[in-house]
Amino acid sequence: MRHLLAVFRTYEVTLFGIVLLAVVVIESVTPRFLTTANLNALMVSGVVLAVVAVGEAFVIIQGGVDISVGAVLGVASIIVAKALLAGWPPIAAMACGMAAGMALGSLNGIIVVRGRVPAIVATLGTMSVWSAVIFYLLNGEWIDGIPDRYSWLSVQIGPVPWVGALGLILGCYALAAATLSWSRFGRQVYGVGDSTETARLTGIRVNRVSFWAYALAGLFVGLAAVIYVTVDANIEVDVGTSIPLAAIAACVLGGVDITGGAGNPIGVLLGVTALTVMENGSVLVGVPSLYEQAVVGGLIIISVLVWSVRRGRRPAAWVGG
Amino acid sequence: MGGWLMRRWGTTVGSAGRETALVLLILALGGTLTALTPYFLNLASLLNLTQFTAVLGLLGLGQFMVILGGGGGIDLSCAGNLNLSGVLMALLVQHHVSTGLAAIIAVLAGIALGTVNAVVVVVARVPALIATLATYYAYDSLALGVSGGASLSPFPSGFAWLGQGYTFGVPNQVLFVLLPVLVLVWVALRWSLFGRSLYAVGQSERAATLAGVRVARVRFWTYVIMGALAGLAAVVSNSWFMSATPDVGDVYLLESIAVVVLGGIDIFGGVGRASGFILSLILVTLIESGLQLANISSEVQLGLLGLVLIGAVVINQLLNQARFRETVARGKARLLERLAPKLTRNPTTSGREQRVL
Repeated sequence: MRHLLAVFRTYEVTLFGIVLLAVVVIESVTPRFLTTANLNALMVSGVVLAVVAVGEAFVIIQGGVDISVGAVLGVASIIVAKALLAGWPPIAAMACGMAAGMALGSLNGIIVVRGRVPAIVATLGTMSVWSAVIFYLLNGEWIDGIPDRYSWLSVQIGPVPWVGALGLILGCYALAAATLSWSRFGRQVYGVGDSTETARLTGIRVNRVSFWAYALAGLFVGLAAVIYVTVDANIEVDVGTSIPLAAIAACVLGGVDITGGAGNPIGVLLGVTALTVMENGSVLVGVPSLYEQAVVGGLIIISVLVWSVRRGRRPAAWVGG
Repeated sequence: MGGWLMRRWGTTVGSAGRETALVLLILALGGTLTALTPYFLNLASLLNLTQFTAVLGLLGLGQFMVILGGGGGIDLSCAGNLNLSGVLMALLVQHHVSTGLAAIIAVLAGIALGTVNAVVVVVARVPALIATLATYYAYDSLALGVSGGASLSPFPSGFAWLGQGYTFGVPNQVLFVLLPVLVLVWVALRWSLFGRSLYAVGQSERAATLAGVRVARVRFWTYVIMGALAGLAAVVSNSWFMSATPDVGDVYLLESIAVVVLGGIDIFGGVGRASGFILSLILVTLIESGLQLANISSEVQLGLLGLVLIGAVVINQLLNQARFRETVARGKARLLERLAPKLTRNPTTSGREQRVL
């Protein structure tokens, strides 16, 4: 019995409780929260983030970071959109998008692993390169009128919209959870994130693991691109600029250690939910949308602080040394 | 004597090599630009060019010190800091605060924002990467919110003196802001206790602690100084454009890191000279103006700079590999031997052997 009850002391349950609490509070303050229209808006902002976040989780758990996911999303979305507009079958467009995402993710991986460029610098560089590419491809305009070929994503069952997308997300997370918990690659990801040198000494091919983490993230971003063009039928030049921070925030909120080596997909999913609910709720409650990112930034810092304390990292003694 | 020579050359190959490479690149780029437009190579237009170095130079100097301190130190929020401080200054002037006072408050705001970073990174031990990423978005978002997303231009025409005026042909923002700060930082890094502590902390946190250096305090101050420089850069930027835009600083994040990395400063800290930084600043400005001349849009410019950044770090890492350095050293030894065999007689045996015999 004690073992059963122990599950309630996990962070994930606490987070779930916080999300429920937030929902209750927001719903009581403004009754527009639990309406189908608002759930629609929630899903729209959340589904793309959810898929990107699981990819980002792989990268962060193995000890890196990828802030180029937004720009990669943009490039992949443009590719999918152009394919659909040109009349290609939706499966082909989806495959193209995912291949593009994986290619760009792999490029990140090569730069980090082979070029030995720190992840932040590498992905900052690639982010600016892909942003320039997006700017060049869009050429001052924007893509709209993308045909909705993935209507199975937006199928609505009862009051819940986007059930297809939800299923896709749950599938992704189930896959990620299975990989991380039960496959050798997954365990190696944790090992590399915990301590690169120790992992290398135990015979783990650190370079290979890191590379595949970045490639996998790119693959997920490619999938997210398909959802993106369904959810948002036009692509503008600032596509994906708020995604990297939100993805990292979701991971951190979900208990992924930013220094690597800890975290699990359930937490990330809860983090995505918490983030989406809080962003949506803050807009409903009246926080000006221009301040949204400030809220996200604050949330990141608070959750990292909370996690630092939980993990027993004591703060530096005040500047006395 | 030969041995002494070889040892001197061997120890300077790391840093002098970097500076030599930068100077060569600058000359090459300058040459290309002169070939492309005959108006380039005259003193007036060159001095005119320096106006683009001020804001970048200030932010880059702050970034230089933060990165030098090591421990994964970096400040991704400098651009957001600039945005917010600049917007705050404009708002103050809009509400009839004198420009001078508003400028001082802007710098103080920069210091405050930098101190937030310092507390979160150094005291709360949140990794600099995630902390300054979060504060970047927070500051940027606040700047957007506070300014309503619009550009603010409340400054009196006299304010343009700083950003658009020239004295003796040199832009005022360079002469009266960038140069003094550069000199100050250079002196501090070379001759002050703080500077030496900073290098020590960057090279080995443990050794520095054992030597009695207060690592946390040193790193704390780097973030505060970065904040002050960002506030100062905001004032310069406002004067330069005669307006405050909530996203004016965004381009400088990538550029400031690129300048630091190109200048031979190790991204992990502890290594880097101000001279390398200055040369790199000149080089990056040349690159930017060259691209501007070629009519390349600023987004594409940023993309190219991203490529330059990645390339610079890759080259840095390559050069730092011990194997590479050994190969270079051996190659140099062989070259020296071939050119001047008398100089390279084995130093340990020549003197002593003769005495014994």
